[in-house]
Amino acid sequence: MLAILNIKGGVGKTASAVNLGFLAARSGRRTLIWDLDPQGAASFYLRVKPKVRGGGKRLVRGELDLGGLIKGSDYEGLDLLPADFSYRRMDIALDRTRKPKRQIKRLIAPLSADYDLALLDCPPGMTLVLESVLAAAEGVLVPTVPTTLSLRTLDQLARHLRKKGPRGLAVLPFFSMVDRRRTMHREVVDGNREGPFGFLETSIPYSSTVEQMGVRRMPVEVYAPSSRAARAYRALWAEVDRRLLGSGGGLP
Amino acid sequence: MDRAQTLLRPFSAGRIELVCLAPVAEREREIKLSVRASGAFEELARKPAIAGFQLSPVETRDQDDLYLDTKELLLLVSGVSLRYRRLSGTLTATLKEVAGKGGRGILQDRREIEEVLGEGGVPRGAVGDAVASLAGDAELLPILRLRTRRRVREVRANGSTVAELCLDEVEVYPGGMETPAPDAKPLGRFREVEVEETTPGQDTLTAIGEELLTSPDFSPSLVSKLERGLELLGIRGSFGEGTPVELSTEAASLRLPQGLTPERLERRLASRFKAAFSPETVEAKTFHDSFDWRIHEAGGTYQTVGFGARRLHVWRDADGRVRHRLRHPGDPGFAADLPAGALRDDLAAVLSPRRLLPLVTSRVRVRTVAVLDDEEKTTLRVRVERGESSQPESGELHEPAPRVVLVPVRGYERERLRVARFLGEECGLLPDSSSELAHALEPLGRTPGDYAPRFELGLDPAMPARDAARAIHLSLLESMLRNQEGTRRDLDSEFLHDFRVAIRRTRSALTQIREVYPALDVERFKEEFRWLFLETGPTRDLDVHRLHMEICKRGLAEEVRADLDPLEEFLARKRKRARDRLLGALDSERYRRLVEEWRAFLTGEPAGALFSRNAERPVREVASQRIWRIYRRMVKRGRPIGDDAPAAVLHEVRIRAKKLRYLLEFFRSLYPEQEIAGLVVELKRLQDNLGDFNDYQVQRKSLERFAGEMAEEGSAPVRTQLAMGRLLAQLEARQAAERSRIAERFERFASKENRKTFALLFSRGEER
Repeated sequence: MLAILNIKGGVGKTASAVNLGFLAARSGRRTLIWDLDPQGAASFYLRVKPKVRGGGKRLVRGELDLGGLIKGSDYEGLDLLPADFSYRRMDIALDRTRKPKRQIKRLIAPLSADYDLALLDCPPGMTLVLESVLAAAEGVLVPTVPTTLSLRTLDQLARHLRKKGPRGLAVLPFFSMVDRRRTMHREVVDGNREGPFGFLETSIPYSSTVEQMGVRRMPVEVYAPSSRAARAYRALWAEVDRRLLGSGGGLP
Repeated sequence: MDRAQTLLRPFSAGRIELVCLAPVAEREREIKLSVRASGAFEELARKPAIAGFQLSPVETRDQDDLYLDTKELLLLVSGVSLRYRRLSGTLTATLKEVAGKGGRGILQDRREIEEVLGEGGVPRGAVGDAVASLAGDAELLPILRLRTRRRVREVRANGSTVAELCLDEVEVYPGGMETPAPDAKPLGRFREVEVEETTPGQDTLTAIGEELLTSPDFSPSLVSKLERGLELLGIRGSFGEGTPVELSTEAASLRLPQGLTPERLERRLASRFKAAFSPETVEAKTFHDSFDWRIHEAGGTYQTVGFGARRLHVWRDADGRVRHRLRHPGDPGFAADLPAGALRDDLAAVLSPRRLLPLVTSRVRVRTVAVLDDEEKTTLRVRVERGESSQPESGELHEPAPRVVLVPVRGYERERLRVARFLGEECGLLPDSSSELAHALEPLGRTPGDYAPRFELGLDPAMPARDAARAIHLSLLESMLRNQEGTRRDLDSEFLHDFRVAIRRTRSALTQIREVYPALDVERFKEEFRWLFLETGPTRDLDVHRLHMEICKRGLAEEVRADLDPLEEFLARKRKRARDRLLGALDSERYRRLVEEWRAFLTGEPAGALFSRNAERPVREVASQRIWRIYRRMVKRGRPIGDDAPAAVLHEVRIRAKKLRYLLEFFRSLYPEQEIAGLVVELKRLQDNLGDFNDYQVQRKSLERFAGEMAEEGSAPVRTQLAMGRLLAQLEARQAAERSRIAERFERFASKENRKTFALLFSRGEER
């Protein structure tokens, strides 16, 4: 189970979730994207109507089972757990349970036989939902826009995870929305190739191809497979696959 | 010519990404057909016209093509093939996509680049660059040679040539830089028809393709010549394809009714629902199992898909769930051939000592129709599948019936029901419960589980005993012959085992089903089968030795195990000699005549019953009499069989138990199954017990003998002698353990209750 998160919003997090999820499914892994971000667009990108209201609260209370809410995407092997506006109040619902940090793990456990990989598209901010996700995830992908400010946020997050996060949690930041025409972007990317954060080698370029996802409502790989963005996502997936899922081809 | 800036882009979404730059790519558009029978093929060489086009006279060319790749087959893994062809003194290298644009339908559209090679035959231009970008500087080796006699006829419209019709007869040779000797034997041969476009205009190819496909002798070929050649070399897989889709377990398959073609079905679907059609793709996979279907018996399938480093092994359970998945380039064989891990351990438990063999390679052309909702979202996938199965050994192609598979999309149950109802009620499709494997095997005339080592034959109680005996013997002959090839090729130890079990049962039936055949024939065949049994015995003894040693070694300390290596080498040398003897027997005139005469004897006019007084009696009577008699003798000899019974008694009881068990198995179908099953199980337990006891005895004796022989040869260092001593101790301990169980098992088998059952079933009322 991998979480994709950033404390800041608008960093290409959802686009990454959808594109990586698609590539994972294509490589033969049965993949589930859990759209936990009520403002996110994973459900929209995959053309699934976010229907169920009140799901967040009822889920946490154990009145709903996750499996019944899942919708298949247009791509074989890729399913989606749609967003729900009530996730906004999920924090509150979680807070009322006895062991809030274990809830996501408990909810997703019954699905482990159906999927080889779950990608959690997390809402921005440090929330109880995030804590609960972190307790369940094996790895965390952090899309980061190459600015000094973003690096500070990343630093905060990294510190927090080191102190409070579960042991052995792999934190993998990568640069996202990189615009090589901007001096600061270039400098930040080049200056952090090696360093304390352990950035992945691949970075995702700032590109109108990615922006078109909102119009096309498909992963980049489907409508522009030879674009720079698609190439970058493929490379990113290969790196994540190698680093986190340890393959060569085996399964996590 | 398609002057693309980029050559070999990603084949399409869902396939291997392959981006290597080169200035020029040429495009080859062609259709390819496999040929079933020579009739229509030869007729094509004579026809004056086809589909309204004129055909020029035949011109014959001989092509000698060498395919090269790196040791790891990096080019093929990347989805391209490299071919060297010499034509009138010029050597040309061609790099070609294996799977074309939009997958592999009958119409192939593949990109290729060419380069004329200079001295030394190394590509340094466009082909060289592309090869280097894929394979680095790894050495290129010849992997396969195809020699093709190509008869070409130009296809003309209004006097100008629009295409070439090629009738190819291909011979496959292993790779090698030298031209094979004139008398070299090819690995295999096949025929193929290709129509290659010379002037663009899609209609030409389609029109010719459609006309050719009206003949049952032609079918669309989904495989390149190279792939067919590689299959004959034992290299299986599909290149340039992504990982085939894994269907969810809820996928339901349907059969098309008579008269409804897949094309018409697609049209009907589209007229009723909002649908999107995807280009046709080909999914290829090979199914594997042991000769006796151990994976199938355990309720699963073992498949490999993909090729080379991307080859994926998938073991599924009966419900379709993945039990294991592993990337491994090789064919699965013995469990020990796989890398250490969960798959290997699990496989060893199910499979040992057998090996997995390729059963069938199935290639399915899939067209997926996505049924959409008003947001253009897929709510159900309908896969229309047209397949092709190839026999792994011969590469021979067969065609299973087309079928339709509904793949549900999670969360859209209502939409699925709507389409399923339409297909069932309005289009007349029928549920097809056969598994994917059964479907692929069907055109090969096989079904999963069609071989089992246990004897099974239905007999009619009233049939004459002679006819029953003949049926039993024929079935055993069949079993022998089915195991002959695997024995000859030494695929695994169990072929020979089953081969010999069939001989032993044959001999037992010859003596135990008394006076049904003329005595002279019985004597003659007994003698011949005895000979065959003896000739094949030493190899089996050494196999048993090796299997037992594997087990005993586990009881020894790690460092002692290595000391046994000289013994293993000694045994391997011995086995080699024993195998020579066995092969000598199987290749002998005597063996050939035995099989031939035995079959003639069993199927020919039966001899008169003059000297075979049981021949015409009802089989059940004869069988009951014999079983009852052997049973009483066995129990009498064995009782009391206390823990101190002499070896001679154990030996005799063992022999009689074996006779009895064979008889019960031969005639099982004549008696109520439930009662006889219980007897057979208990008898088997006792017999295994006695058998193992005896095996250990034999093992001990021969181990002592080996020690002597090795000492004489000087091939056993002291450490080895000591380790063998420990092995001997292990064998003794195991034998003692078996011995301690005999008395109890015997008593259980000889119990009053069983005696009653025996009497009831077999004694005709006497001695109740």
